[in-house]
Amino acid sequence: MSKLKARMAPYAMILPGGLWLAVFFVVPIGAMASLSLQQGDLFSGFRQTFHFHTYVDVITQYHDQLVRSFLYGLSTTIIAIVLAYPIAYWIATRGGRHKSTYLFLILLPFFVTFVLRTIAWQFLLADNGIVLSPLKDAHVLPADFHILATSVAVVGGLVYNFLPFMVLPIYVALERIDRSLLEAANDLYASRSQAFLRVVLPLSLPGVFAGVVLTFVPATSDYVNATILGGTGQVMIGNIIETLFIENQDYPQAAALSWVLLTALLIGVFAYARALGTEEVLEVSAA
Amino acid sequence: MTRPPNLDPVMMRGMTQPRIGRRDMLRLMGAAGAASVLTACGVSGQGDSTTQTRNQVKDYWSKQHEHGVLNFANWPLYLDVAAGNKSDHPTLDAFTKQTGIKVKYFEVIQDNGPFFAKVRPSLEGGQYCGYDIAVITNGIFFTQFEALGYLVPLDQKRMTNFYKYAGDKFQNRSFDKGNIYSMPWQAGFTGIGYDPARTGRKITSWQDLADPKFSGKIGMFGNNEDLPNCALLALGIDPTTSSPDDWQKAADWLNKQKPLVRKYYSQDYAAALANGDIWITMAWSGDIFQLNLSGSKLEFVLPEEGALLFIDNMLLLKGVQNPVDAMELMDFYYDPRQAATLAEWVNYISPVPDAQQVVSSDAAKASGGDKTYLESLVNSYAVFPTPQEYAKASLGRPLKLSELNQWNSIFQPVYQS
Repeated sequence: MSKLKARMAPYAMILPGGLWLAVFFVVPIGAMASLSLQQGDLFSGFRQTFHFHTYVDVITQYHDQLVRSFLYGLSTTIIAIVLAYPIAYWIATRGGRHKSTYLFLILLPFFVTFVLRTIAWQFLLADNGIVLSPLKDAHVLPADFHILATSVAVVGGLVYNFLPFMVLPIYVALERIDRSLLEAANDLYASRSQAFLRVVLPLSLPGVFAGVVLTFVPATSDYVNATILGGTGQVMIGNIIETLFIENQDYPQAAALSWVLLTALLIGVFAYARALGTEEVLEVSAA
Repeated sequence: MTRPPNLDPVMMRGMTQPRIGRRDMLRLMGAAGAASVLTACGVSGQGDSTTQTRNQVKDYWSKQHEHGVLNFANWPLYLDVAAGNKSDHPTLDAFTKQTGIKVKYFEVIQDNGPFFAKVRPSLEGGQYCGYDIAVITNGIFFTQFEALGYLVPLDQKRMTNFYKYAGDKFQNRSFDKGNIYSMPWQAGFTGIGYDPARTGRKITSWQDLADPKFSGKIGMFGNNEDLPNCALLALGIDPTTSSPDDWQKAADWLNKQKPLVRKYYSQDYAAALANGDIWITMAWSGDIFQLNLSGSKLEFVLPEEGALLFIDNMLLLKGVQNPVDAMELMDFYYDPRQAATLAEWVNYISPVPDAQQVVSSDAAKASGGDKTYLESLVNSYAVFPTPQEYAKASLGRPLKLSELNQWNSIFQPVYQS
């Protein structure tokens, strides 16, 4: 009897978390999958018809916006890594006793609402605003130069908003590296750059992976930055899903498009995990 | 001068179309009245359904009582506020003083679509959505609220001020004939706003929005009502009678114009126009009027091809818990004194022409900056348009639900690509 109990113990332990996941993740996502295969409208109701063609429809119809979103997500992630790695490295190695202060500074923008932070950029980057106006007056930039309503503004906004999600996991990974490993590398006549490339960098990759997931996934599906900072050709897939859900009440199309996005993101992330090696991924989930 | 409510077209449809007929009636009264209506429907043929419906409405209202409380959902910045205290609303205070009804005021409507999405689950489930009155613009969402049976017919007996003081345009609205479901809150024009210092010339036509000289400095509305209707007007097509072929032509015009457009805006066009990101844009009358009050030197024009008029309407949502209190509040705002106070603050078109007199006498009593301000309101297109100005404006294409998919698939790709 007690043997059975012992065998059941792990299951009992995952029960709370498992239930949580079931109720708030599996059920909604199942409902969304079911909705995506229904047909109908608000007035006659939606019926389950397993109409898989909706998926073909949304992919052909919103192909451009899907590709654009992934390109924006990818650029955001790459720029964020380039910016975040040195920051995290500096804090981890040179932060000294002020480390927590620096980390707090990284997090500080979070105390301001996401939308408001983005609108602040709209103000800063206005055509005749405090940044561009002096440069135009000094003839550094032509008078009709503008940043708002371009892809640069949208990707810039995304990088700005998601940068902390990249800095923090990289910092954690760097922080955990055993200093004696560096000393050992030194003892073995590794130069500083060799030590970095062959010891520090590989050991910090799990942090980069976590950062990529935390940045790439929300950046790709974001719609606030495109709305506020974009122009006529910067509509992202999140904007389309919003329109389909809220303006058109085309729930099946919206659900199908959400599934397409979800699947594509999962494939992207798993492909990346594969490329990095599965162990690192597990290590990240354990961290 | 009370006129008998003309229930026929709307109610007939509710009764005769099997698709939503019975469910519609079920929803009519919300959960409370459902049982009695159901029995009534069960035995009724399609004979004199109008009288029957009218009787049901009468029956419903005869059973309602005042509760002394009320929940009112409105758009932000759409109600007068006291100087120095933004959460104090003088007209609501006056209402409470006069009737004893306490009003909880919610600025929860950012746009018709999101609000519809927010309350739909409760309305569909036959539950109270938390608001007795909501303010919804004429157009697609008004039609949907109505067609889904989410609206409660008003008590025509409690609309004394409305029938006495509401302007003609507001008593005869094509989208709510007979004022069965709604009373206007405020209205406005969709026209062109521009900065004459930057455009360097007077703007008169929708076609000016496609002038290559303004390339990159043109703003358009990114929604499926203002944008399509404006394009139809630009081509000289009357939106109200336009055909799908016309829609395609309008979309072609918009696509041709697109490379010149800076952005398809939602609400944030006003700031962009004020700070020079754009020079010329589709605009709502009240916004431009307010920007000028705070120092901008912008112009608003009703284009020669015709402008658009939008009307925001107070209505009762299904499952309404305090219908009598709600009726009293809606009618209260048709008192010219209250309408004037409201207009003096929100700067949109007042549905009460007599409020002009009141604002004018307020101006005579005021002094200094207040006086100048009130005087500017009295003769403003934004608050009290002239008959000529009204004559220029169309309510846009009234879309049947069956046309909506086609309309959306023609116009949405323009601003969502």
